[in-house]
Amino acid sequence: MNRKLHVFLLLLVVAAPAVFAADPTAPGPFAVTREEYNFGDTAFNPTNFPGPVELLASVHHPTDLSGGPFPLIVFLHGRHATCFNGQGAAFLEWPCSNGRTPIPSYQGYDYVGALLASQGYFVVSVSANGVNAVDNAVFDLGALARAELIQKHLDIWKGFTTTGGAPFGTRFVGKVDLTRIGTMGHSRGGEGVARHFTFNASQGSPYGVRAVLPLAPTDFNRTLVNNVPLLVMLPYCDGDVSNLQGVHFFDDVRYNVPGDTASKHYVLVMGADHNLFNTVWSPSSGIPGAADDWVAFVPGGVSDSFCGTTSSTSGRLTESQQRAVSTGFFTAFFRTFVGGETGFLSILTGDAPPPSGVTRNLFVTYHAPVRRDLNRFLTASELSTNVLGGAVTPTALSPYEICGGPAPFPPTCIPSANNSQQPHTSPSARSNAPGLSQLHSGWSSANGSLRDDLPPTQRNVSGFQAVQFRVVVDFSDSRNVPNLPQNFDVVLTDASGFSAPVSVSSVSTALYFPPGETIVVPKIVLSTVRIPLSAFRRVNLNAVTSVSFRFDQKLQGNVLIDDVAFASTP
Amino acid sequence: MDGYRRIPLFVFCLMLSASAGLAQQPPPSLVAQLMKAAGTLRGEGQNAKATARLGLKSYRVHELTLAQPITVTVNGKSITTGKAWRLTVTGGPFAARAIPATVEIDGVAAGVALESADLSELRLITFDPDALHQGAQVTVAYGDLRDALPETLNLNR
Repeated sequence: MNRKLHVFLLLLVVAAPAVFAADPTAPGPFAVTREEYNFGDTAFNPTNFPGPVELLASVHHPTDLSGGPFPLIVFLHGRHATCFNGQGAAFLEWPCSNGRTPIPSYQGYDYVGALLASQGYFVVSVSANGVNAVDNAVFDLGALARAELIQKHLDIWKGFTTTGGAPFGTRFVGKVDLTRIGTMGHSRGGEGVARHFTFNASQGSPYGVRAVLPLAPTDFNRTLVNNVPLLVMLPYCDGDVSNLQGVHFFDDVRYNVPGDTASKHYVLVMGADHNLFNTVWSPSSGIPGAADDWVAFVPGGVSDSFCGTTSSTSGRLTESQQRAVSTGFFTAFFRTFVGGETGFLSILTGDAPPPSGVTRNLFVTYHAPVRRDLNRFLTASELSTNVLGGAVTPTALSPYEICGGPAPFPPTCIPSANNSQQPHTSPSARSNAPGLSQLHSGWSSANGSLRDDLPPTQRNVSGFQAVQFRVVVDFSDSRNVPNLPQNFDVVLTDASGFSAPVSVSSVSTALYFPPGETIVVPKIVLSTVRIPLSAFRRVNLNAVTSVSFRFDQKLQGNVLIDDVAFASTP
Repeated sequence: MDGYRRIPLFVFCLMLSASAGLAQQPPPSLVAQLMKAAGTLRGEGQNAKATARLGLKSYRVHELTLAQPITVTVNGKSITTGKAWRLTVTGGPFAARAIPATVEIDGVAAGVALESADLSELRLITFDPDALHQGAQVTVAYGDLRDALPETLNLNR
């Protein structure tokens, strides 16, 4: 082989994901039974809530229960019309009147419920039409009502698995493990499962919630979900929660509780909208109220070059493609943190690609529980001295400033952009909590750099797997060329003065130029870059003196950066 | 695109409405009841053509008499009142969606609206006697997407 071929093969090895995970979406060994229970449209009255709520759910479980008890996964849909009539009109009322039919939003996740059941889980998907009908009349917009509704269903399941009860008799006695629970909520249901986690804790944690997954969630109230594995899924082309405010769930808890060892993740799914994760809300269902929210809610959105559906450059996912994403990440997340399987974590850290059949056009962000934080950019002092006490040295950077956090920092990072374009700093309807503080850093020559020194006592990083940070390209700065990815080097230097660079583009596509141009896009959403320390060849990892970002791959540019750390997965 | 240039104002309004969370809120059951209660018509718009983006048409303002006075916080001050006002924005259909419709009066967030059962109206309850005033400009916003009613309020109060 000639030298060029050697170099090419080396690049391939470096660029390829370091890990290949097992497929969490492979059907499991269990035959599956689907059932429902229904205690009536007005069976539940949440605290101080102005309307009755149904107690209705679908259940998927292994047909053969002899291997139980099985863990329990609870799904909660979001806000949507509640009823429809034969003329194709949707309504918002509860219970449905005048012969109208309830919209079965809770059935919209059966596709993944059935799969998880085949893998050995009880999956209960709760109906919440009664909450949807009047939650805008409540100050918290229904978050507590949704939390109480989940808790009520868990109380019901406590009965099913202890003494039994209608309609299942004693079939489930001893078959459901209420110490191993995962929750997934979509849209306002996403805020519901977050609020439920804190509500359950306030009750003394009678149920063992081990994983919380808000899907395209609202976060009106800025509930803090600490000390539990968290995965937030963010659809880039969300036409409803277009400011992707659910990213606050992740941002707000990174450093909130010292010693919080729970993994925190989010996935930015390019080309996904808000509704298509739910089959009942998807146009193919034919049920009134179903829509592609990007097209329905974003004026002119249909022709957007990325999120639109008519452009030749559209990046939109079909219904089945979008549900492949939810299937892949639901199963990987719950099987890891509720089921205790070890083969899928690398999908959730971004170290391994998504499962087969899932779009590769997504970005995984991971806040590792095992870290040595280097620079969090939480305070102005971190512009000159990092968390470890080492010097921070910018060279030829403009701007070089912290934006987006609490005063005195500016509340947003891009004044010319609207809130939907900068989710990390989007304001919250029911909270004054500030947005994410980030470093805004630009360069106009190949001399730009940012160096973080490690003090002598902190230089042995050999026990960590990777150096990682979050980054995104500032689309508003003309120094970034539209539609072209940015790039720079990360450089580790050791005590002997030896330096090794790794190009970000060789390990990650996180420096993409955010696509789209219609009102709420392009967006600024940070994504994690994780570089294995093994990639910094011949650097003495027992004596690393500095980590530098060397902006020498492009002559000019502007990026937002956060959360620089050495990190390991558990 | 004029609406999208008003971000700083919108942020300010959201902060105002958020800080209201610390204030005394009316009981949700009362708000829900007032959404449908009979009242005295104090004003009604005439426009019949929907706006392009959100499909807003016109409005009605009703004055509502409470069964008993309540104490609520209005503009940072605690007041006791026996009256409320309902602004109904017509048009639609307004989708039942995650992001609520926020009603702004003269650029200031007045609260979150609740959709009518048939999704043809948005309804806002206010206890502020001055909020719905003669000549007020009403805007409906879903996050960064907003439209103003084609006509200002014309009241006979």
